[in-house]
Amino acid sequence: MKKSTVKTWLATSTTVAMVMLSGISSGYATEIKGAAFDAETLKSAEQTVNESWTRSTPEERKRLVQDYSNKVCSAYKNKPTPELAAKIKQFNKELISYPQEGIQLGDWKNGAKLASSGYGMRIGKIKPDTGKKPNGGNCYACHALAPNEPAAGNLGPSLTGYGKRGTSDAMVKYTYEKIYNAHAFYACSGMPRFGVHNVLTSKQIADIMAFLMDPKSPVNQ
Amino acid sequence: MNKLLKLVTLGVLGSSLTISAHAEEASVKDYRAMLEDSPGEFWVDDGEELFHAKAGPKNVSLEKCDLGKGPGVVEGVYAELPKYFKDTDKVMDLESRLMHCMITLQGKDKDTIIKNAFSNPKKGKDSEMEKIVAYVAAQSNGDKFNLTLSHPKEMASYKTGEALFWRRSGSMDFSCATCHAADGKRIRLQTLYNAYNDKTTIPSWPTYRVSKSTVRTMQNRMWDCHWQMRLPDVDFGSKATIDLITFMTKESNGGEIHVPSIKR
Ligand code: HEC
Ligand code: HEC
Repeated sequence: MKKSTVKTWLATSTTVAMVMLSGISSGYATEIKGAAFDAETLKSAEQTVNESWTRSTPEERKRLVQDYSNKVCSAYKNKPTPELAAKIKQFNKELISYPQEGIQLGDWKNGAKLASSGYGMRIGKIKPDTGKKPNGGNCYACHALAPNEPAAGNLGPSLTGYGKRGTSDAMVKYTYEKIYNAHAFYACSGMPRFGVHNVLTSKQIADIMAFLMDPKSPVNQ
Repeated sequence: MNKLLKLVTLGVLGSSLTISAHAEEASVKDYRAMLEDSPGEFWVDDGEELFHAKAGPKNVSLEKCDLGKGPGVVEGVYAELPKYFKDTDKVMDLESRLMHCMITLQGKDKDTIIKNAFSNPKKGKDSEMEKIVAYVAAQSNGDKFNLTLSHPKEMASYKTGEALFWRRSGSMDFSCATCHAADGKRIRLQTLYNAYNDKTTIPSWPTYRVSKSTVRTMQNRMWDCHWQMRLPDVDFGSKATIDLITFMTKESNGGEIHVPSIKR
């Protein structure tokens, strides 16, 4: 898929959100042959989603709409066939956009704060985030980073000493793309797509990259 | 221990916990040892009174509520929920069934029940639902979860629940399985339960949450995890929550119920 096609696809999937929620589009039906769930169960799940958020606004309900990548990953319990994995990675590569000024390392001190903060993007009536603080990357929820921070989760690999890989153009590009869209490298990764969903800005990604890669950062001490 | 003494102990407990925000599991064990019972026992006592008290526009109690074993029977019902109910032609969990009884028997208003389903101790907001749930669930203490899925709608609820468990969406691309489908995983220091290999966690709900100073129910946990997933508030008692609970409870079949437990 070309980037423009992907954009159109995403736009369509948002405008026809409720239609998408109520069933599996015909193009996708062939993809789920051999999936972990049968078509009937997947359809029932979509109908169930459709009737279980009636108290939310249409704007909020857009969060429930799955893109191509999440649909296939869910149907295959995150273990797509090699062919589908290749398609998912390609789909996700095309979702990455780059800052006009090029990819640069930012301020590792601010990156350290962002790696720690899980603030942002929570919605609903009961306990929504107010948007008064910047969104965080919550990297520590899943990764070990600075060795002096023991409160690190283990859903992802340890990133302690990440800077040892150097700051070549290739490493800088990889790290930016990985944070922007982890699924471009690892189909159905457990890691959120921080750039795709506008959780982090490119400046914030630059700061987090510095936290990972700057030799002075605690991650590399 | 009498109620007053318990309350005093609880006050001490509450304040010492605010100091250590990151209460770890070892310390919760210490608190558990300090207390004879879970502080949730207060909710059970209050829930018993509420269950038998006349209430709502029709001024009747919940004593005629059929939770699966006939009108008024509370012993052992929780061990078989969620289950299919003929009168509604639906699979229902304890909370959606109680809500159904409050509406049909007591004439209460659905929106009001939903609005008051979760307490907010910080704002002095109480929840009768949390208390009644604690009471009814505790009447299955010592029983083992035993979902048979013998009705086709129960089987469908289980299957749909598992598909929902893996369904990724939202700003973080999370599904429940991102966090709850493997052993030994943690978010920061919080241990994550593995839905496929755990027979103690689901039977420990409802639970007294020390960090919230109240009893929380499984419907509340469904709201909480969806909120963490950056999804909108899932409807209280909705089909999605019931199907997820059917799936998780069936996976816990054989696990012995001990509620309300006490947790972080
Ligand atoms: C919910 C869990 C989760 C969160 C939050 C998360 N990650 Fe990850 N991350 C993973 C998982 C799982 C992997 C391994 C699979 C993969 O490579 O995509 C991973 C892999 C990575 C890798 C590739 C490691 C390598 O050896 O090349 C990098 C870099 C990374 N994460 C950085 C980050 C940063 C920076 C953040 C915060 C902005 C972050 N992650 C937040 C789960 C997470
Ligand atoms: C990003 C991670 C994450 C996701 C996604 C997630 N949860 Fe959770 N879940 C947690 C955390 C953290 C806790 C609380 C653990 C604690 O307090 O020790 C928790 C607790 C629970 C519990 C209670 C476990 C216990 O130890 O008592 C259940 C049940 C549960 N989640 C089910 C779900 C379901 C169902 C979904 C999907 C709708 C889901 N979770 C999605 C992180 C997650």
